[in-house]
Amino acid sequence: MKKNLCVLIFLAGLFLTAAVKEGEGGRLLDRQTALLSARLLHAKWSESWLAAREPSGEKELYGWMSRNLAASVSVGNAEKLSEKIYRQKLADDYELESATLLKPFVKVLGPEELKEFQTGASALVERKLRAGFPEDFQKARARLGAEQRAALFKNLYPSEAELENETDATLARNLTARFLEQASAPVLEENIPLFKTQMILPALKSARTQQRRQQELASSLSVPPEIWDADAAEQSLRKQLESMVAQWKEPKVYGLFPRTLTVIRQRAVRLPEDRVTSRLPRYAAVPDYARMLKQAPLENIDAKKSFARLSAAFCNTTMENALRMSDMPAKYVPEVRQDQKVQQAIQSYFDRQVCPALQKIRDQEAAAQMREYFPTLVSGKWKPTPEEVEVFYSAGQNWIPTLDGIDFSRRELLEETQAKLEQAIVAKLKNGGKELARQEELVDMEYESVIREMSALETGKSVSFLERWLGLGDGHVSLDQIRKRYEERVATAFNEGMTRDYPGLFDRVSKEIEIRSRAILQRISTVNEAKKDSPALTPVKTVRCVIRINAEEERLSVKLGKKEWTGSLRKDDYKSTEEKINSGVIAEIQRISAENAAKNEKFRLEVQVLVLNGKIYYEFVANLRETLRKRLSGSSPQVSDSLNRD
Amino acid sequence: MIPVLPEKLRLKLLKALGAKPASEAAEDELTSVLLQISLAIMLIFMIAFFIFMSKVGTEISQIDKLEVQLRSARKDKIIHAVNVVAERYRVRYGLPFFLRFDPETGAKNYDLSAVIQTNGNMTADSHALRSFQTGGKNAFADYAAPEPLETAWKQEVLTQSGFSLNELNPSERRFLAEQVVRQIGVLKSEVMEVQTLAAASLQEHLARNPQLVHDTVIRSLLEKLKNPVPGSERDLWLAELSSQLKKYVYEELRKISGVPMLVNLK
Repeated sequence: MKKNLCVLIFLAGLFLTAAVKEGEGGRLLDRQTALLSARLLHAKWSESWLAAREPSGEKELYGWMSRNLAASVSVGNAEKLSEKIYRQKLADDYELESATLLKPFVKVLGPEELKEFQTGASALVERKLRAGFPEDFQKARARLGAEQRAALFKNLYPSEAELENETDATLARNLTARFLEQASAPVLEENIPLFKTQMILPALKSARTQQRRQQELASSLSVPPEIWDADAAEQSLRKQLESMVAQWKEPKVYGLFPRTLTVIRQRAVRLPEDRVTSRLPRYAAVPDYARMLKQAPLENIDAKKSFARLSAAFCNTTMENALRMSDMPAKYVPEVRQDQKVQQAIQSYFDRQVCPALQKIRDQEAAAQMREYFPTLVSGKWKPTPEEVEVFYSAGQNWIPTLDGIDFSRRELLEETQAKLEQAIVAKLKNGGKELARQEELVDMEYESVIREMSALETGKSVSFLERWLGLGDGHVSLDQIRKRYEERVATAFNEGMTRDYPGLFDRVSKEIEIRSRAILQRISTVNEAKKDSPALTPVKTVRCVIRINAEEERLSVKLGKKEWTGSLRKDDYKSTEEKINSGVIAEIQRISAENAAKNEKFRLEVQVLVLNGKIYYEFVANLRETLRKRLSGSSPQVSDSLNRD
Repeated sequence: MIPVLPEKLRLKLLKALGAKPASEAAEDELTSVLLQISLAIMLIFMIAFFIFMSKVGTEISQIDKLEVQLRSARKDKIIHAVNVVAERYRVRYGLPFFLRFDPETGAKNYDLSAVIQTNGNMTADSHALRSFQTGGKNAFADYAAPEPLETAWKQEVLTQSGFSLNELNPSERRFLAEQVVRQIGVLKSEVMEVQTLAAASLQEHLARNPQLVHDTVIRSLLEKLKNPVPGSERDLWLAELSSQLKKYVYEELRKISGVPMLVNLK
């Protein structure tokens, strides 16, 4: 204390007294500069010391724990004790490094000034301890634990027999028990659960992998060609496998497992058979099938029968080739010839390898037959007549009619040729059916536009639909004019911007146009009469009945409001279905009409027929419409109709 | 029997040997007497000469002594003039406010305690502040141009001493120049000492508050030095850090005082 006081007085005298001796200025400046340098450097070093990891912290903790294993068994206790060691290590390092840093200033600075640099040391040490100790402790502990596990496990690897006889779960249990029994030194507490995950399971995984690899190699290794004897073959395979296993890099390399030895023995015993089956491509007696097809096409029309006839000959010839070409010692020949597995392998080779090749040849021959007998079909010039298309279409596109120019009766056609022929014809017919469907669709669309025009005329929104649709202005029109104009418009729309196989209208379409033309003409007449009778229509209540017609899988369905009628579309049932549905619909409409009439107010009954999806004959729709007209004409002043397809 | 030489031959031999005949021997004796007389007269004159020379030498030595004394007096006059001028410049540089003399030893001390406050700001004392600021600015202005400063000093010293430059002999001129240069250097070091003490005070404040140091160069040096790995490279970086911190404190002092620092002069 006294000494410190003296130094303070000296310093105060040096800096604070009034006068300084001449020539002292430089020395004073040097001293203050040294003090400033030391403080700046110390501050900077403190920052970096705090930020840097303690280089030997982990090593120190590892060393201490390994030396004091008994005290380190519990993680909590080890951590508590290690922290003290770590703190002391940090304090020592701080002191040593700080002293080294300040060494150049020792002669210039006083002891008190040097001591001042140690003021914040403990706080810094504590901060560095908090920052670095947990990680270093974890690492050191993990290293110590891993080393202990490895050391203890070294003599605990399961044997080949154990691995073959026990499951992984049983082995893991047994090995853990053995580990605890055999551990002479204290075992770290975290090593008990880790032993299973870190040591036993990886070791078992490695062992199982080796087992599998040994079996794979035992199955795939080859025996030198000069060896035929089973014992010699077994020795050869064992030697090869053992030399390969010896080169594996595993913590524990196992010898050959009993099952591996079994596989080797099995392979050695069946060496002659295996050699035949493994070299079948070399011995296979594939026939000249293309020539056979040319020479005797009638015998090979059916592929299955043809292949079945070839199969037996192939198997016999191939077997004989194998026995002859393999240089097999004579004593093995009868055995191999009678071997079921060899025979199965040859048969399998025929089915899987030879048959696909033969089928390719058949496909080529079928293509050649198509080119030879049906050149116009192959070149795309042939097409069915419109009548044939209509028949095909009406039959639901699943029945081929008799076709002009196609002769199915040729006996030499292979079944593949017949299939190709049918496929090509159906494609052509389907294309025709597609065009027919398009024409019918256009007929609907035109009809709908006429109906819309007529509805507009009735409500006074249009002055002359005839001018817009028919190009006529006088209001007098004949059925022939309507039909002709209708056909022109459908044909123009159908061919617009496209080249069609059937540019003209199908007969079926022309007939439908005729029916619809009549309906249009009748509508025109009705409108004109209505105009004459009542020039000014007074607005009345409209009662609307929407009839929805749908067809699916040969069943016709008609809905009106909440009611529905269904029936079969088959030829035999069609008439009764039509009658049943029509009468049901009429009865419902009459019921609705009577219901509204009972209210004593004038109303307009509008019946709308919507033709939805499926195979619906317009004949049915036309009949329904006519029935409605006839049956309802007496009870209601106005009936309108439309044909819509949603 | 001894043979007799013919006469002609005998004369030729005498002539060849340099022998004079008997008629010429009396003339030689006379000549020697006259020579002795001449030597006696010359001796008398020589004695008189040495007596004369002895008297003249004494007088010359006295004259030389007087000359030395005269030269010394002229130099003292120059030195005095230099000191007087130096005192004037001290005032110009604001030094008297900070300068203290130890009454026992006469040693010079500086008191900068009133200039930088403990919070790192300049003093509120206007006298101290003005002395530091004005003096520092004057010093920087003078020392930024050393040749005109030396010329001004010489002129002021000559004026103060009453000499004109032509009156001074080459030696005195050289002496004057040396004295002026030395004194200019002394004053510069005094001003620098004052500024260094102020910088040290400010550095002390920064050392108490290191978080106030904001400099990218210093920060990058600290980054390099943060790991205490000894070595020659680290010593170099430490020296560089010290140098940068000094530069930084002088710059901070310049900012808060508005005084350009002499240390920054090239």
